Amino acid sequence: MTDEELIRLYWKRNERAISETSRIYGKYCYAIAYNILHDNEDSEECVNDSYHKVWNAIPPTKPNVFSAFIGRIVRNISLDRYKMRTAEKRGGSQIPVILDEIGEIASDTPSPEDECVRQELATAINDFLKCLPMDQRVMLVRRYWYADDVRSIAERLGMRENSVSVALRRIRNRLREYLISRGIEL
Amino acid sequence: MRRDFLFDAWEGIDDKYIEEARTYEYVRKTINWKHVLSIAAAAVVTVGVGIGVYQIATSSPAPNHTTGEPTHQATMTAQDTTIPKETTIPQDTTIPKDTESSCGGEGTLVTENVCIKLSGIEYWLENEEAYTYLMEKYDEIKYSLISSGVDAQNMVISPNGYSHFRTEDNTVPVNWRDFLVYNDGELIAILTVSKGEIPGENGPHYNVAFGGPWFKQYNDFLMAHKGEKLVYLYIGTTEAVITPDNKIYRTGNLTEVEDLKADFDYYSFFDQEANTYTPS
Repeated sequence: MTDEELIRLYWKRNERAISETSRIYGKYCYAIAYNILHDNEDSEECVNDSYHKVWNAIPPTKPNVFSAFIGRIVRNISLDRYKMRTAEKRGGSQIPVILDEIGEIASDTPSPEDECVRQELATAINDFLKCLPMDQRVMLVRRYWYADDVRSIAERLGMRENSVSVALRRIRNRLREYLISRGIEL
Repeated sequence: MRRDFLFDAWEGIDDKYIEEARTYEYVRKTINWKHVLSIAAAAVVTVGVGIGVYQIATSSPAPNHTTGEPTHQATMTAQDTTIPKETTIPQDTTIPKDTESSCGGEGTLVTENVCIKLSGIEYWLENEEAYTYLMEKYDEIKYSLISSGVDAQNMVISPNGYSHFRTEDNTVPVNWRDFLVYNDGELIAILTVSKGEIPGENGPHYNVAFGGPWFKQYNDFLMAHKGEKLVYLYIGTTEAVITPDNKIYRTGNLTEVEDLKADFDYYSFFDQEANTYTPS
Protein backbone atom coordinates (compact mmCIF):
# COMPACT_ATOMS: atom_id res chain seq x y z
CA MET A 1 0.00 0.00 0.00
CA THR A 2 1.37 3.42 -0.93
CA ASP A 3 1.34 6.42 1.40
CA GLU A 4 -1.22 8.04 -0.86
CA GLU A 5 -3.57 5.08 -0.48
CA LEU A 6 -3.00 5.11 3.26
CA ILE A 7 -3.90 8.80 3.50
CA ARG A 8 -6.96 8.11 1.40
CA LEU A 9 -8.10 5.57 4.02
CA TYR A 10 -7.77 8.23 6.73
CA TRP A 11 -9.80 10.65 4.63
CA LYS A 12 -12.47 8.01 4.20
CA ARG A 13 -12.46 7.51 8.01
CA ASN A 14 -11.73 3.86 7.34
CA GLU A 15 -10.36 2.24 10.50
CA ARG A 16 -8.16 -0.02 8.41
CA ALA A 17 -5.94 3.08 8.10
CA ILE A 18 -4.67 2.47 11.63
CA SER A 19 -3.93 -1.23 11.16
CA GLU A 20 -2.17 -0.46 7.87
CA THR A 21 -0.17 2.32 9.52
CA SER A 22 0.84 -0.10 12.24
CA ARG A 23 1.82 -2.71 9.67
CA ILE A 24 3.88 -0.34 7.52
CA TYR A 25 5.25 2.12 10.06
CA GLY A 26 4.91 0.26 13.38
CA LYS A 27 8.58 -0.71 13.68
CA TYR A 28 9.75 2.70 12.51
CA CYS A 29 7.57 4.48 15.09
CA TYR A 30 8.57 2.08 17.83
CA ALA A 31 12.26 2.67 17.08
CA ILE A 32 11.80 6.44 17.40
CA ALA A 33 9.94 6.08 20.70
CA TYR A 34 12.33 3.50 22.10
CA ASN A 35 15.40 5.61 21.26
CA ILE A 36 13.94 8.32 23.49
CA LEU A 37 12.33 6.27 26.24
CA HIS A 38 14.25 2.98 26.41
CA ASP A 39 11.19 1.26 27.76
CA ASN A 40 9.04 -1.24 25.89
CA GLU A 41 5.74 -0.46 27.54
CA ASP A 42 6.10 3.32 27.34
CA SER A 43 7.24 3.11 23.73
CA GLU A 44 4.28 0.99 22.73
CA GLU A 45 1.89 3.37 24.45
CA CYS A 46 3.43 6.36 22.67
CA VAL A 47 3.15 4.61 19.33
CA ASN A 48 -0.52 3.83 19.97
CA ASP A 49 -1.16 7.42 21.05
CA SER A 50 0.48 8.63 17.86
CA TYR A 51 -1.92 6.50 15.74
CA HIS A 52 -4.81 8.16 17.54
CA LYS A 53 -3.32 11.60 16.92
CA VAL A 54 -2.82 10.86 13.22
CA TRP A 55 -6.44 9.70 13.01
CA ASN A 56 -7.60 13.03 14.45
CA ALA A 57 -5.25 15.08 12.28
CA ILE A 58 -6.14 13.56 8.88
CA PRO A 59 -8.34 15.14 7.62
CA PRO A 60 -7.93 18.10 7.30
CA THR A 61 -4.17 17.59 7.11
CA LYS A 62 -2.81 16.07 3.91
CA PRO A 63 0.77 15.09 4.74
CA ASN A 64 3.20 15.15 1.86
CA VAL A 65 5.67 12.78 3.48
CA PHE A 66 3.67 10.47 5.70
CA SER A 67 6.69 8.85 7.35
CA ALA A 68 8.00 12.25 8.46
CA PHE A 69 4.53 13.28 9.56
CA ILE A 70 3.95 10.29 11.83
CA GLY A 71 7.61 10.31 12.87
CA ARG A 72 7.27 13.85 14.18
CA ILE A 73 4.12 12.94 16.09
CA VAL A 74 5.61 9.89 17.78
CA ARG A 75 8.80 11.82 18.55
CA ASN A 76 6.88 14.66 20.20
CA ILE A 77 4.71 12.32 22.23
CA SER A 78 7.77 10.36 23.33
CA LEU A 79 9.66 13.52 24.29
CA ASP A 80 6.68 14.70 26.33
CA ARG A 81 6.57 11.33 28.04
CA TYR A 82 10.30 11.52 28.68
CA LYS A 83 10.00 15.01 30.22
CA MET A 84 7.13 13.85 32.38
CA ARG A 85 9.10 10.83 33.56
CA THR A 86 12.16 12.97 34.33
CA ALA A 87 10.00 15.39 36.30
CA GLU A 88 8.53 12.50 38.27
CA LYS A 89 11.99 11.28 39.19
CA ARG A 90 13.09 14.73 40.27
CA GLY A 91 10.26 15.92 42.39
CA GLY A 92 7.99 13.02 43.15
CA SER A 93 4.71 12.20 41.47
CA GLN A 94 3.06 15.50 42.45
CA ILE A 95 5.12 17.57 40.00
CA PRO A 96 3.32 16.53 36.80
CA VAL A 97 0.01 17.02 38.59
CA ILE A 98 1.06 20.50 39.70
CA LEU A 99 2.27 21.32 36.22
CA ASP A 100 -1.07 20.23 34.83
CA GLU A 101 -2.88 22.38 37.38
CA ILE A 102 -0.76 25.41 36.54
CA GLY A 103 -1.29 24.67 32.87
CA GLU A 104 -4.99 25.27 33.39
CA ILE A 105 -4.41 28.91 34.28
CA ALA A 106 -1.28 29.68 32.28
CA SER A 107 -0.79 28.99 28.63
CA ASP A 108 2.12 26.73 27.83
CA THR A 109 2.31 28.29 24.40
CA PRO A 110 5.80 29.67 23.85
CA SER A 111 6.14 33.44 23.81
CA PRO A 112 6.53 35.13 20.39
CA GLU A 113 10.22 35.73 21.16
CA ASP A 114 10.80 32.06 22.00
CA GLU A 115 8.97 30.98 18.89
CA CYS A 116 10.93 33.44 16.78
CA VAL A 117 14.27 32.12 18.06
CA ARG A 118 13.17 28.53 17.48
CA GLN A 119 12.10 29.26 13.92
CA GLU A 120 15.30 31.12 13.19
CA LEU A 121 17.30 28.19 14.52
CA ALA A 122 15.28 25.66 12.55
CA THR A 123 15.81 27.63 9.35
CA ALA A 124 19.54 27.87 10.03
CA ILE A 125 19.79 24.14 10.73
CA ASN A 126 17.94 23.33 7.51
CA ASP A 127 20.29 25.59 5.54
CA PHE A 128 23.27 23.93 7.18
CA LEU A 129 21.93 20.45 6.40
CA LYS A 130 21.43 21.43 2.78
CA CYS A 131 25.15 22.16 2.44
CA LEU A 132 26.34 18.87 3.94
CA PRO A 133 27.25 15.75 1.94
CA MET A 134 24.47 13.20 2.18
CA ASP A 135 26.26 10.74 4.51
CA GLN A 136 27.14 13.50 6.98
CA ARG A 137 23.59 14.83 6.85
CA VAL A 138 22.16 11.37 7.50
CA MET A 139 24.57 10.96 10.40
CA LEU A 140 23.46 14.23 11.96
CA VAL A 141 19.73 13.63 11.46
CA ARG A 142 19.96 10.07 12.77
CA ARG A 143 21.69 11.37 15.89
CA TYR A 144 19.71 14.52 16.68
CA TRP A 145 16.31 13.79 15.22
CA TYR A 146 16.00 10.02 15.51
CA ALA A 147 18.14 9.96 18.69
CA ASP A 148 20.05 6.92 17.41
CA ASP A 149 23.05 5.80 19.42
CA VAL A 150 26.50 6.00 17.85
CA ARG A 151 26.70 2.25 17.36
CA SER A 152 23.50 2.14 15.28
CA ILE A 153 24.69 5.05 13.17
CA ALA A 154 28.02 3.33 12.61
CA GLU A 155 26.23 0.17 11.44
CA ARG A 156 23.93 2.12 9.17
CA LEU A 157 26.75 4.05 7.55
CA GLY A 158 29.28 1.23 7.44
CA MET A 159 31.74 3.10 9.67
CA ARG A 160 33.56 2.43 12.90
CA GLU A 161 31.99 3.84 16.05
CA ASN A 162 35.02 5.95 16.80
CA SER A 163 34.91 7.49 13.30
CA VAL A 164 31.25 8.39 13.77
CA SER A 165 31.99 10.07 17.10
CA VAL A 166 34.85 12.06 15.61
CA ALA A 167 32.80 13.02 12.54
CA LEU A 168 29.85 14.10 14.68
CA ARG A 169 32.09 16.26 16.84
CA ARG A 170 33.54 17.96 13.75
CA ILE A 171 30.10 18.55 12.23
CA ARG A 172 28.83 19.95 15.54
CA ASN A 173 31.74 22.40 15.60
CA ARG A 174 30.95 23.44 12.04
CA LEU A 175 27.30 23.87 12.95
CA ARG A 176 28.31 26.02 15.89
CA GLU A 177 30.48 28.22 13.67
CA TYR A 178 27.73 28.40 11.10
CA LEU A 179 25.11 29.50 13.64
CA ILE A 180 27.46 32.15 15.04
CA SER A 181 28.15 33.42 11.51
CA ARG A 182 24.38 33.90 11.11
CA GLY A 183 24.32 36.05 14.20
CA ILE A 184 22.71 33.47 16.45
CA GLU A 185 23.92 33.79 20.02
CA LEU A 186 24.96 30.48 21.56
CA MET B 1 20.96 30.38 24.63
CA ARG B 2 19.03 27.67 26.43
CA ARG B 3 20.12 24.17 25.49
CA ASP B 4 16.53 23.01 24.97
CA PHE B 5 16.01 25.72 22.32
CA LEU B 6 18.67 24.16 20.15
CA PHE B 7 17.23 20.72 20.79
CA ASP B 8 13.68 21.84 19.98
CA ALA B 9 14.86 23.51 16.78
CA TRP B 10 15.59 20.06 15.35
CA GLU B 11 11.86 19.52 15.31
CA GLY B 12 11.71 22.01 12.45
CA ILE B 13 13.96 20.20 9.99
CA ASP B 14 12.56 19.46 6.56
CA ASP B 15 10.55 16.30 5.93
CA LYS B 16 12.91 15.39 3.11
CA TYR B 17 15.86 15.06 5.52
CA ILE B 18 13.84 12.89 7.89
CA GLU B 19 12.82 10.67 5.00
CA GLU B 20 16.35 10.60 3.60
CA ALA B 21 17.76 9.49 6.94
CA ARG B 22 15.04 6.86 7.27
CA THR B 23 15.70 5.28 3.91
CA TYR B 24 19.46 5.74 3.66
CA GLU B 25 21.20 2.44 3.36
CA TYR B 26 24.91 2.03 3.17
CA VAL B 27 26.05 -0.16 0.31
CA ARG B 28 29.44 -1.65 0.98
CA LYS B 29 31.75 -0.71 -1.83
CA THR B 30 33.95 -3.73 -2.55
CA ILE B 31 36.06 -4.00 -5.65
CA ASN B 32 35.02 -6.79 -7.92
CA TRP B 33 38.15 -7.38 -9.92
CA LYS B 34 36.39 -9.59 -12.45
CA HIS B 35 34.01 -6.72 -13.13
CA VAL B 36 36.85 -4.21 -13.42
CA LEU B 37 38.72 -6.44 -15.88
CA SER B 38 35.64 -6.98 -18.03
CA ILE B 39 35.07 -3.20 -18.20
CA ALA B 40 38.72 -2.64 -19.14
CA ALA B 41 38.52 -5.30 -21.86
CA ALA B 42 35.35 -3.74 -23.25
CA ALA B 43 37.04 -0.32 -23.27
CA VAL B 44 40.01 -1.66 -25.23
CA VAL B 45 37.70 -3.22 -27.84
CA THR B 46 35.68 0.01 -28.13
CA VAL B 47 38.78 2.13 -28.66
CA GLY B 48 40.06 -0.31 -31.28
CA VAL B 49 36.76 -0.24 -33.18
CA GLY B 50 36.68 3.56 -32.89
CA ILE B 51 40.12 3.90 -34.46
CA GLY B 52 39.09 1.56 -37.27
CA VAL B 53 35.92 3.55 -37.99
CA TYR B 54 37.87 6.82 -37.89
CA GLN B 55 40.35 5.47 -40.43
CA ILE B 56 37.57 4.37 -42.80
CA ALA B 57 35.80 7.72 -42.42
CA THR B 58 38.88 9.82 -43.12
CA SER B 59 39.68 7.76 -46.22
CA SER B 60 36.19 8.46 -47.71
CA PRO B 61 35.44 11.59 -49.78
CA ALA B 62 34.31 14.57 -47.68
CA PRO B 63 30.57 15.35 -47.76
CA ASN B 64 29.54 18.37 -49.82
CA HIS B 65 27.40 20.45 -47.46
CA THR B 66 26.71 23.13 -50.06
CA THR B 67 24.90 20.86 -52.48
CA GLY B 68 23.91 18.20 -50.01
CA GLU B 69 25.22 15.66 -52.44
CA PRO B 70 25.35 12.26 -50.88
CA THR B 71 28.89 11.19 -50.30
CA HIS B 72 28.63 8.15 -48.06
CA GLN B 73 26.25 5.50 -46.96
CA ALA B 74 24.80 7.24 -43.88
CA THR B 75 23.68 10.27 -45.88
CA MET B 76 22.19 8.10 -48.58
CA THR B 77 20.01 6.38 -46.00
CA ALA B 78 18.83 9.72 -44.62
CA GLN B 79 17.95 10.91 -48.10
CA ASP B 80 16.06 7.72 -48.81
CA THR B 81 13.88 8.29 -45.78
CA THR B 82 12.90 11.78 -47.04
CA ILE B 83 14.80 13.79 -44.42
CA PRO B 84 15.78 17.06 -46.14
CA LYS B 85 19.43 17.14 -47.08
CA GLU B 86 20.13 20.23 -44.95
CA THR B 87 18.58 18.72 -41.83
CA THR B 88 20.98 17.97 -39.02
CA ILE B 89 20.04 15.30 -36.55
CA PRO B 90 19.83 16.88 -33.09
CA GLN B 91 22.42 15.60 -30.66
CA ASP B 92 20.20 15.90 -27.60
CA THR B 93 16.44 16.17 -27.71
CA THR B 94 15.83 16.26 -23.95
CA ILE B 95 14.44 19.46 -22.47
CA PRO B 96 16.90 21.20 -20.15
CA LYS B 97 15.75 20.82 -16.54
CA ASP B 98 15.59 24.53 -15.82
CA THR B 99 13.20 25.08 -18.74
CA GLU B 100 10.58 22.93 -17.06
CA SER B 101 10.34 25.13 -14.01
CA SER B 102 10.90 28.48 -15.64
CA CYS B 103 8.30 31.23 -15.66
CA GLY B 104 6.00 31.91 -18.54
CA GLY B 105 5.59 28.32 -19.70
CA GLU B 106 2.39 26.39 -20.10
CA GLY B 107 0.19 26.41 -17.04
CA THR B 108 2.02 29.27 -15.40
CA LEU B 109 0.53 32.44 -14.00
CA VAL B 110 2.84 35.22 -13.04
CA THR B 111 1.92 37.33 -10.04
CA GLU B 112 4.34 40.13 -9.28
CA ASN B 113 7.74 38.48 -9.42
CA VAL B 114 6.70 35.06 -8.20
CA CYS B 115 5.67 32.24 -10.48
CA ILE B 116 2.44 30.56 -9.57
CA LYS B 117 2.17 27.35 -11.48
CA LEU B 118 -0.87 25.25 -12.15
CA SER B 119 -0.28 21.55 -11.59
CA GLY B 120 -2.19 18.57 -12.91
CA ILE B 121 -3.09 20.38 -16.12
CA GLU B 122 -3.05 17.16 -18.13
CA TYR B 123 -6.06 16.05 -16.06
CA TRP B 124 -7.76 19.45 -15.80
CA LEU B 125 -11.02 19.09 -13.92
CA GLU B 126 -13.60 21.78 -14.61
CA ASN B 127 -16.00 22.62 -11.81
CA GLU B 128 -19.00 21.73 -13.94
CA GLU B 129 -17.55 18.34 -14.87
CA ALA B 130 -16.80 17.55 -11.23
CA TYR B 131 -20.23 18.67 -10.04
CA THR B 132 -22.05 16.73 -12.76
CA TYR B 133 -20.08 13.67 -11.74
CA LEU B 134 -21.05 14.16 -8.09
CA MET B 135 -24.70 14.52 -9.03
CA GLU B 136 -24.50 11.18 -10.82
CA LYS B 137 -23.03 9.69 -7.66
CA TYR B 138 -25.45 11.53 -5.35
CA ASP B 139 -27.36 8.47 -4.12
CA GLU B 140 -24.24 6.40 -3.67
CA ILE B 141 -22.62 9.15 -1.58
CA LYS B 142 -25.76 9.81 0.43
CA TYR B 143 -26.32 6.18 1.39
CA SER B 144 -22.68 5.54 2.14
CA LEU B 145 -22.79 8.49 4.56
CA ILE B 146 -26.04 7.28 6.12
CA SER B 147 -24.65 3.77 6.50
CA SER B 148 -21.68 5.34 8.32
CA GLY B 149 -24.00 6.94 10.84
CA VAL B 150 -24.09 10.44 9.35
CA ASP B 151 -27.43 12.22 9.10
CA ALA B 152 -27.56 12.86 5.35
CA GLN B 153 -31.28 12.56 4.58
CA ASN B 154 -31.43 16.08 3.15
CA MET B 155 -27.94 16.09 1.75
CA VAL B 156 -26.94 19.04 -0.43
CA ILE B 157 -23.64 19.21 -2.26
CA SER B 158 -22.36 22.73 -2.68
CA PRO B 159 -22.11 23.38 -6.44
CA ASN B 160 -18.81 25.23 -6.21
CA GLY B 161 -15.65 23.25 -5.70
CA TYR B 162 -12.24 24.62 -4.92
CA SER B 163 -8.65 23.54 -4.98
CA HIS B 164 -5.85 24.83 -2.73
CA PHE B 165 -2.82 26.97 -3.34
CA ARG B 166 0.23 25.00 -2.16
CA THR B 167 2.81 27.31 -0.62
CA GLU B 168 5.36 24.52 -0.72
CA ASP B 169 5.89 24.76 -4.46
CA ASN B 170 3.69 27.73 -5.42
CA THR B 171 1.25 25.58 -7.34
CA VAL B 172 -2.50 25.44 -7.66
CA PRO B 173 -3.63 21.93 -8.61
CA VAL B 174 -6.37 21.95 -11.22
CA ASN B 175 -6.97 18.19 -11.33
CA TRP B 176 -8.96 18.05 -8.10
CA ARG B 177 -11.56 20.05 -6.21
CA ASP B 178 -13.12 19.88 -2.77
CA PHE B 179 -16.89 20.17 -2.41
CA LEU B 180 -18.63 20.86 0.88
CA VAL B 181 -21.62 18.70 1.77
CA TYR B 182 -24.43 19.99 4.00
CA ASN B 183 -27.45 18.47 5.65
CA ASP B 184 -30.07 20.95 6.87
CA GLY B 185 -27.44 23.66 6.87
CA GLU B 186 -24.87 21.65 8.82
CA LEU B 187 -21.55 20.72 7.25
CA ILE B 188 -21.39 16.93 7.26
CA ALA B 189 -18.66 15.98 4.80
CA ILE B 190 -16.09 17.17 2.31
CA LEU B 191 -15.89 15.47 -1.05
CA THR B 192 -12.71 15.52 -3.05
CA VAL B 193 -13.15 14.90 -6.75
CA SER B 194 -9.94 14.22 -8.62
CA LYS B 195 -8.64 13.03 -11.93
CA GLY B 196 -5.42 11.30 -12.89
CA GLU B 197 -4.43 10.24 -9.39
CA ILE B 198 -5.07 6.55 -9.83
CA PRO B 199 -2.86 4.94 -12.49
CA GLY B 200 -4.88 3.69 -15.44
CA GLU B 201 -8.01 5.50 -14.30
CA ASN B 202 -8.20 8.90 -15.91
CA GLY B 203 -11.86 9.71 -15.27
CA PRO B 204 -13.04 11.55 -12.16
CA HIS B 205 -13.34 9.72 -8.86
CA TYR B 206 -14.20 10.89 -5.39
CA ASN B 207 -13.20 10.54 -1.76
CA VAL B 208 -15.41 11.48 1.09
CA ALA B 209 -14.19 12.81 4.44
CA PHE B 210 -16.69 13.06 7.26
CA GLY B 211 -16.90 13.12 11.03
CA GLY B 212 -14.24 15.76 11.54
CA PRO B 213 -14.51 17.11 15.11
CA TRP B 214 -13.79 20.57 13.67
CA PHE B 215 -16.75 20.60 11.24
CA LYS B 216 -19.16 22.38 13.58
CA GLN B 217 -16.84 25.27 14.31
CA TYR B 218 -15.83 25.45 10.66
CA ASN B 219 -19.48 25.50 9.62
CA ASP B 220 -20.09 28.47 11.92
CA PHE B 221 -17.10 30.19 10.39
CA LEU B 222 -18.46 29.65 6.88
CA MET B 223 -21.86 30.97 7.90
CA ALA B 224 -20.21 34.06 9.35
CA HIS B 225 -18.53 34.64 6.00
CA LYS B 226 -21.57 33.98 3.82
CA GLY B 227 -21.26 35.72 0.46
CA GLU B 228 -17.56 36.43 0.87
CA LYS B 229 -15.03 34.93 -1.48
CA LEU B 230 -12.62 32.82 0.59
CA VAL B 231 -9.19 31.82 -0.63
CA TYR B 232 -7.88 28.35 0.23
CA LEU B 233 -4.32 27.20 0.61
CA TYR B 234 -2.11 24.55 2.11
CA ILE B 235 0.74 25.94 4.17
CA GLY B 236 2.89 22.83 4.27
CA THR B 237 0.39 20.26 5.53
CA THR B 238 -1.93 22.75 7.18
CA GLU B 239 -5.13 23.71 5.41
CA ALA B 240 -5.80 27.41 5.71
CA VAL B 241 -8.33 29.93 4.49
CA ILE B 242 -7.91 33.64 3.86
CA THR B 243 -10.81 36.00 4.44
CA PRO B 244 -11.23 39.25 2.47
CA ASP B 245 -9.89 41.22 5.44
CA ASN B 246 -6.53 39.51 4.77
CA LYS B 247 -6.65 37.24 7.83
CA ILE B 248 -5.42 33.66 7.46
CA TYR B 249 -7.05 30.93 9.57
CA ARG B 250 -6.27 27.25 9.98
CA THR B 251 -9.46 25.39 9.08
CA GLY B 252 -8.83 22.66 11.68
CA ASN B 253 -9.13 24.93 14.70
CA LEU B 254 -9.76 28.38 13.18
CA THR B 255 -6.84 29.99 14.90
CA GLU B 256 -5.03 32.70 12.98
CA VAL B 257 -1.73 32.01 11.26
CA GLU B 258 0.84 34.28 12.88
CA ASP B 259 4.14 35.70 11.69
CA LEU B 260 2.75 37.30 8.57
CA LYS B 261 3.99 40.48 6.99
CA ALA B 262 1.66 43.17 8.16
CA ASP B 263 1.60 45.09 4.90
CA PHE B 264 1.35 42.19 2.48
CA ASP B 265 -1.93 41.56 0.70
CA TYR B 266 -2.09 37.77 1.03
CA TYR B 267 -5.70 37.66 0.00
CA SER B 268 -5.11 39.13 -3.45
CA PHE B 269 -1.82 37.36 -3.91
CA PHE B 270 -3.21 33.86 -3.36
CA ASP B 271 -6.51 34.55 -5.07
CA GLN B 272 -6.57 32.33 -8.15
CA GLU B 273 -9.69 31.14 -9.90
CA ALA B 274 -9.33 27.50 -8.84
CA ASN B 275 -8.77 27.96 -5.10
CA THR B 276 -11.66 30.16 -4.05
CA TYR B 277 -15.03 29.37 -2.57
CA THR B 278 -17.94 31.61 -1.65
CA PRO B 279 -20.24 30.15 1.01
CA SER B 280 -23.88 30.85 0.27
